[in-house]
Amino acid sequence: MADQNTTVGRRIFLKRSGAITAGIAGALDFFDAARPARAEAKKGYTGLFQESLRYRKWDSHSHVFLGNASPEKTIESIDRMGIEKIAVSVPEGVKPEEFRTSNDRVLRAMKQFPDRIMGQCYINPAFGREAIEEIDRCMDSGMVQLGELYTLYKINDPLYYPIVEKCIEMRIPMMMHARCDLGLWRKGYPCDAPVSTSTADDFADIGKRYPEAKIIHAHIGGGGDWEYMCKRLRSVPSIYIDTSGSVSDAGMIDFAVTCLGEDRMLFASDMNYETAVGKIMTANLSDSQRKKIFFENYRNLLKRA
Amino acid sequence: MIIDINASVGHWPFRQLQGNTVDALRARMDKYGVDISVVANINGIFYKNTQSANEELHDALGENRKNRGRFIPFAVINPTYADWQHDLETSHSRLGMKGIRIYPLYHDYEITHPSCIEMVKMARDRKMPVAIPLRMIDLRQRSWLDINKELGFNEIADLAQKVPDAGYMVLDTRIREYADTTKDAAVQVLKSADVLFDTTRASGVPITGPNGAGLDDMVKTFGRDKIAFGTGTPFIDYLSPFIRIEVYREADRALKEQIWSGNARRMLGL
Repeated sequence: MADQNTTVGRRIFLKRSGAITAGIAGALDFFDAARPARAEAKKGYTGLFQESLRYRKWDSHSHVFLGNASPEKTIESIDRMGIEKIAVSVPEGVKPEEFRTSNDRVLRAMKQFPDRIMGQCYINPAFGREAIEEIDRCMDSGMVQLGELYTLYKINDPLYYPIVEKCIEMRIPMMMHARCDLGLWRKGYPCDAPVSTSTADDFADIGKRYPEAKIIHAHIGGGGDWEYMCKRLRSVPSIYIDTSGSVSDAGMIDFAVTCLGEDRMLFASDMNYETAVGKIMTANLSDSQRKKIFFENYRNLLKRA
Repeated sequence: MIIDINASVGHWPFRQLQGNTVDALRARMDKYGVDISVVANINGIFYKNTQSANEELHDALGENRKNRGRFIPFAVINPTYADWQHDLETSHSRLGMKGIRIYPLYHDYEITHPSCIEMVKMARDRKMPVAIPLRMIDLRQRSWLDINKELGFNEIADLAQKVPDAGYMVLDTRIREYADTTKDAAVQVLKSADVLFDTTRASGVPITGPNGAGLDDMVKTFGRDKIAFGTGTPFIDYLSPFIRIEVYREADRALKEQIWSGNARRMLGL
């Protein structure tokens, strides 16, 4: 989730002013037909979109039950984009019973679409024992990693040390919300994010402390200065970065690949499905680089052996 | 036919842009299948005398015969600067500018400032649409030298109420999560005004992500005759705006045609 830790009320367009929720015009049998053996030789944007459907895609960062994101609408949306699997979380709750409830909702979505939805476990590190127990419960139930850890504490807060160590022990990734607003990395400027929001500086810190951990910096396009972000993480090879977020600046992915290399980048949407694909397809990448970012890197990261 | 109502050329001082020349934009249009782009010069945001930017754009468009018929230039006018009336008149009659693009926040005036009202009326009388970007970039990534404000639908409605018979193009259409709530009265004003909202940030899939807008929401809120395709190039990756329309499966063929070009053609008198 690229923005603040609000629970509901993620209706964006008009905000409490009579906006209308979109309806669904029935299920579409899109996915099976979405990945032709080779791209159609169509000209224009249609050909480029068809080209994108050729790639296997696993979305490493999204959500269900936020805003209008029901599991059904999520599947409908990723079908239209040719996304094969999607990892989701519900990053809500402070107390153990609250974050367990959030994770239960993810488990329900996984059960509803077992071949399409992967689960990410959300915890509050301030409840150390309960958080560790919840990680065990979620992983035993088929979730694949931690995420989207949010703004309750910075990722390099000592409260997270046992959580990181647990993830190392279980060989699972952990993904955390991040922003790089001016007011967060340079004091004295206004910023609407909590001061406990993790920045690239904080990820660099934890990455150097735990180089063997699989830590994912969320959404390069989630708001904030992505050039600062990439430059800060360049020298911390253990930190991965996902490509999600509403920001889809031209040149953003190219810059990230130049700074970080394609092996550290994970395809993701954070519920922004069109830009998730568009920003990768418009970057000046080779076929091999696209395959890694769209699919291979995340699949490999999830391997626990 | 595809018309992009939100294209720019020129320099952005806080981040390097690629493909921000007329030739590069035309090449991109050719590759993606865009027939016409409504274009303004970014430099007009930063020059005190915006007319220099309009002349730059005019000269750039005149450098290559291939540009003919491919671009609809809009003039950047600052109604607080000396002799802006002459700038608008010259841009229209001599430089062939078909509309104006205004930046109240960057040029530091209220959108309902009397001079702005006068400017919009002057544009209206010449049948020049008034394009208003809500923002140029996502504010979260702003430079310390950049502004920290953006416009919303309430401000656009305030202006439309003052000059209800002008034509407006709202660019980079979306309302951020922490922006002011759009008033119901503002929605009513915008529904009855001659306004086009661009699709630069609007999702065609059923799920609307954070800080996005839903195409179907826009259509249902403002009407199918008020939505027009826009890319936000060269700031935004060029493919995503096309995908948004491509995957908008709730739209029938007629609605998509309106979005791709029909609504823009009507406002632009094409």
